[in-house]
This record gives sequence, C-alpha cells and structure tokens, in this order.
Amino acid sequence: MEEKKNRNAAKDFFCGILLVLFGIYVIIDSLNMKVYNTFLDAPGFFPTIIGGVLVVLGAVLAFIGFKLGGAKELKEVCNGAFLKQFITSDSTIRVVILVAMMVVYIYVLLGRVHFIIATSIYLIANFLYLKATKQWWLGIIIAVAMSVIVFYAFKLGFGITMP
Amino acid sequence: MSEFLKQLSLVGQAAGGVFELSNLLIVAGAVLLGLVVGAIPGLTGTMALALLINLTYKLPSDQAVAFMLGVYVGAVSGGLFSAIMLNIPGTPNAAATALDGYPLAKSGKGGKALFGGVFASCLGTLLSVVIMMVATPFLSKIALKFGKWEMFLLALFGITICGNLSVDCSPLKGWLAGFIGFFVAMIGVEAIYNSARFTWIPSLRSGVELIPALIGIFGIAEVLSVLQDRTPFQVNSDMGTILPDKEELKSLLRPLLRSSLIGCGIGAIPGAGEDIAAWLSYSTGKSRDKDKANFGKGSFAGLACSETANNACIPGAMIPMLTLAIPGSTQAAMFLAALNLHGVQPGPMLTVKAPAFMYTVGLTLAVAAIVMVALALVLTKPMVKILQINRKVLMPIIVSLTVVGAYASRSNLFDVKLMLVFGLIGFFLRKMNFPLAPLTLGLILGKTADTNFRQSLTMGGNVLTRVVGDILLVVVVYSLVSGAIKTIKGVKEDLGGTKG
Repeated sequence: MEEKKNRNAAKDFFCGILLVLFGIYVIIDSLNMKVYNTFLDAPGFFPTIIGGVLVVLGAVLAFIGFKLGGAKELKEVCNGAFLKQFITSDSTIRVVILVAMMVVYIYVLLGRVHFIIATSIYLIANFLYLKATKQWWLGIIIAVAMSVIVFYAFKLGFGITMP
Repeated sequence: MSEFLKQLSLVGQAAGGVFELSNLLIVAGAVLLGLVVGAIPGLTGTMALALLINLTYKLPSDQAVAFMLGVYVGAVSGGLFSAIMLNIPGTPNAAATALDGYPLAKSGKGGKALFGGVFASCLGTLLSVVIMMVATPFLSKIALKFGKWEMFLLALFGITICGNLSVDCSPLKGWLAGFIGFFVAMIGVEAIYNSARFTWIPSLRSGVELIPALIGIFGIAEVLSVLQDRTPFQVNSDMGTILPDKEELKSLLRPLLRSSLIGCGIGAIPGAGEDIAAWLSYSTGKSRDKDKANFGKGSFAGLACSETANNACIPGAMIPMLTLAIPGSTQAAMFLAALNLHGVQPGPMLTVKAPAFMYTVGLTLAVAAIVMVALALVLTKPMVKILQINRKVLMPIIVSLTVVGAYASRSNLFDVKLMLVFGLIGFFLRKMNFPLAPLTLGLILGKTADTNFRQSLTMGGNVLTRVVGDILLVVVVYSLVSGAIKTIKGVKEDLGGTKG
C-alpha cells in the first residue's frame, strides 16, 4: 500500500515536471503567433492562458508529488534495480511489442499494401505472439477470415472502402 | 396551455418517426449489439459507440440516431453480465454492480440478478427520460439567453466540475487533463483569423478530428490495458431461474426511484458520467436503504442502486448535450460526435431549428430500454456464453475495427495515424492516473471556449455586469475552490499516511 502510494507520488512528480516544460513551450509558441488587432483576440491569447495554467497546475502537481516523496522515489526508480525490473518485466515487454506491431500495421503496412493483406499480417503476428489459439494454423485462418470479413462487410454493407 | 399543446404535438411528431418499423428494428439490433459489446470485459460503452459509429456513416440521420442510442443503452447495461457472472465489470460503470451481483451469482441466483439488473436499468432509463423531456425545454429557453461570455464560462465549468468528480484521482489531475484537452483543440486553423496554430506538420492544419482522437483514447488505450493483464477468468455457469419473485421485485422499488433521480442528476453534470452515478447511488443506498445491512453480500436493492443509476444517467447526460452541446458523459460525447457527423448541431438553437429532436431522443431511449428487457428475457442465458470469448483473439480484431472507424469519417489515412498517437497518449495518461473524461470534454469544448472567450473580450461592454454570466462565474469559482479544498485534503491525508 505504502509502496503504491510512493509510486503514485513519483508519477505525479514526473508528470508535473513534464507538464511545466510543456506549458512553457505552449506559452513561448503562443506568444510568437501573429497579433492581428489586439492581443485579446489574437490567435495566441487563449493558448497562452492554457500554457500558463499547465505551468501553474503542473508545478502544483510536481510539488505535491515531491512532498509525498515522489522525487526520492523517482530517483530510486531511475537508478536502481526497479528500472531494470520494469524494463524486463513481462507486461512492459508485452505492451512494447503490441505497440510496435500497431505502429508497423498503421504506419508501414496500411496504404502500402491492400487492407486485407495488412490486417492479416497484423492479426497473424498478434495471435502468434499472444498464443491466442491452441493451434497456430487456426490463428492464421481466423486472421485471414476476419480481414476479409471486415473489408467486405464495410465495403458492401456500408460503402466504406479501406485502402 | 398553448405551450403545452405545442410540446404535445412535437411529441406526436417525434413518435411518428421513432415508431416506424425500420427504426424499431434498428433500435432492437443496436441494443443487442450494445449488450454484447458491453458484456465483454474491457469493452466500455464509449468503446462500443466508437467502434459501432462506423455502421452509421451511410444511414439517414434519424436511423443513425436510433442506432447510436440503442447501442448506448445496451452497452451501459451490458457491463452487468460480466460484473455478475465473472466479478469483472464489463464496463467501469458496472463496478458497483459486481459488489452485490457476484455474491448473488455465487449463491445460484445469477439468472435473477441478471434479469433484475436489466429490469432496473430499464426503469431507470424510463424515469430519467420523463425528467429529461420535462426539463430540456425549460433549459433550452435559458440556454437561448447565453452569450459568448456565458458559453466560455460553461466550457470552463464543464472541465472544472468534471475534474472535481473524477473517480480515484484528485481534482487537480482532472483539471490538468481538461486543459490538455483544451490544448489539443487549439491545434489547427483557428476560427477568427484563419491563423494556423501548433501545426507541426501540414496535415494538422485541419485540426484534430474528434472521432479518431476519441477512438484512440478509448479504443487503443483499452486494448493495451486489457492485453497487458494476463489474468484468466472463469464463468459461473449455474444461473438458476431468471425471473425474480414478488418480494425481490418489491425490494427494488425504493432504490429504483431514488437511484433514477441520482442518475439523472449526475448525468446532467458535464462529463460526470455513469461511473460516478452508479457509485454515488450505491453509497447512498448503503447508508439509507432498508436492506443496507445486506449491501455487498448479495442484495437485490444494492444491485438495483447501481444499475438504475448508471442507465438513468443516459437521459440525464442528454440534457446539457442537447441544450448546450456539452456532453454529460464520455458516451454522450461520442454520441455528440456522431450527431455532428450527421449534420445535427445540438446547442441552444436546436429547439428552434429541430424542436422535435429532443423528443425523438427521449422516445428512442425509452424504446431501447423496453426492447432491452424483452431481449434479456430471451437472451440472458446465451449471453453468458459471450463472456467466454478469448480476449487474445478479440482485442487484435478490435484494433482493425478501430482502424476502419478512424479512417471511415474522412477516408484519410492520417486520421488512422492520429488515432494511434491518441491511443498511446490515452494509455500513458491512464497509467499516470489521469482521468480521461475531462480530457475528452476539453477536446470537445476547447474551440468553443477559445472563440467565445476572445470574442467576448473584444466585443465591448463589461462582461461582469451580465447576470447569467455572473451566476456562472460564481459556480465556476465555487467548483474551483471546492476542488482545491478536496485536493488539499487528499494531500494532507496522504502526508499523514506517509509520516505515520
């Protein structure tokens, strides 16, 4: 329980710092936007306020995280065995691989090869990695069948043609 | 009297469309789809709407509305199947349902609990629809008096109150999520001078499309969360009979009435949503109900509290959405996006441009709720089979459906890429314990807040002399102060725990 609380404090501290930096970027970028009439109706006026709010609230979040031991916890997390444990943990590796497969599917395959082929490759890779079916060939059959069904169901049923 | 007759004729006009056979069939099919998607652990009501919005692109707007509302009602209730039979809420709003539903299932009353839950959901929706149909015309008249300053304050109020009510995190994080949403809405060409803002790549000039962003935040983030967890689950197959007896039905009456009011009220608060309604209603029942001693041990009243409230929230969420274009929940936000897609613009002018639309929504929700009970009578036992679907097979297929959903709105591959980016942002924010409802609300209300704020400041006149605006300003300040107090209290408690 205590460990979870410390971990949450570390998350708050980390996010707070990140939001302060992001808020500063938003303010700088907004102040560089063109002023047409007065600053009150300039395109950068409202984003400047948003940036300001992100800086202030982010700083408060970081301060709360710091007070609750977040900075100390974050330091330990970044230096110690925890980072190694986190990086090599089963769930982290799984998420990274799943995201990588999504990136390849959406950024590399879609638009370059037909939707049915791209989707089949993505689904087969997922099923094999997740050991989703007892027999590997069953995964391939489901993947290809689903890709064809999705493509034609949307094309014929709803007039949506995927690339 | 003439006003009453006018409203009555609008009800009649709406009923003519709603009770058309094609619309009724669409509602029935949509409720079934919603129930199925909502029943699968990991698929929320928002995700159901995000995935199934694809199916409405080619439908006429009245049928699209019928379909989306049917899915909405079905998906919110669908979560009770896995909550009761697996002790895993299919949707977050069914989490309180599991507290009494699962013990009931373990004692062989799973069938009764499932039907009782669906029945409570139906009555909750119906009672809330009545409140919605009475309240909305009055609120619309007030909304017509809102100027630009008031619209800005409403948008601000939306994210502050939504942040305050976020479950499991401090209001501070809710507000931050809301302002991140505001920032995302700033991306693209702004409305007053057509000036580009934060357009790091040319494709961002048209801004962040709402539907791909929402599909990413709720779809991709959900898939990653579900697949990260390898916990297997087992279905309790002994369900017993379905129909509750007279005594059990009688015990539902009080919680039904109380929870309908709570659900509808919470629904009307921007961004608050079904989860908060269900928990608030459950905790109220636990402190006030005759059967409070049995809450958490398998009480039908406890089950009715959460199930009635989460469904009563749906018509409640429609009140601010229809009158002010501010969704009462993330599901309502998805519905709002679908309406925009079909050229329906909710807001103060809706009652002028399409006065019968509000009644169409109300009657469709009522039909969907009744259809749901009929479907539950026939399908409760087969529905439990759906819970056994292998999530490792289902989730990757859902990714391919999210791709179709993101692509279909503009036939643009950039939207699919954007969806993935928002999916990763949503997943990161979730892991960092940020609530996603204020983020969604910020995304939807950002442009309204920006344009109205700047225009109100340059239009001349003192904005602080407007009565409606002043009332809203007080409400915003109050919600900020109460949120700040809540945050400080939480920090003090944590500090006490850390020192102790």
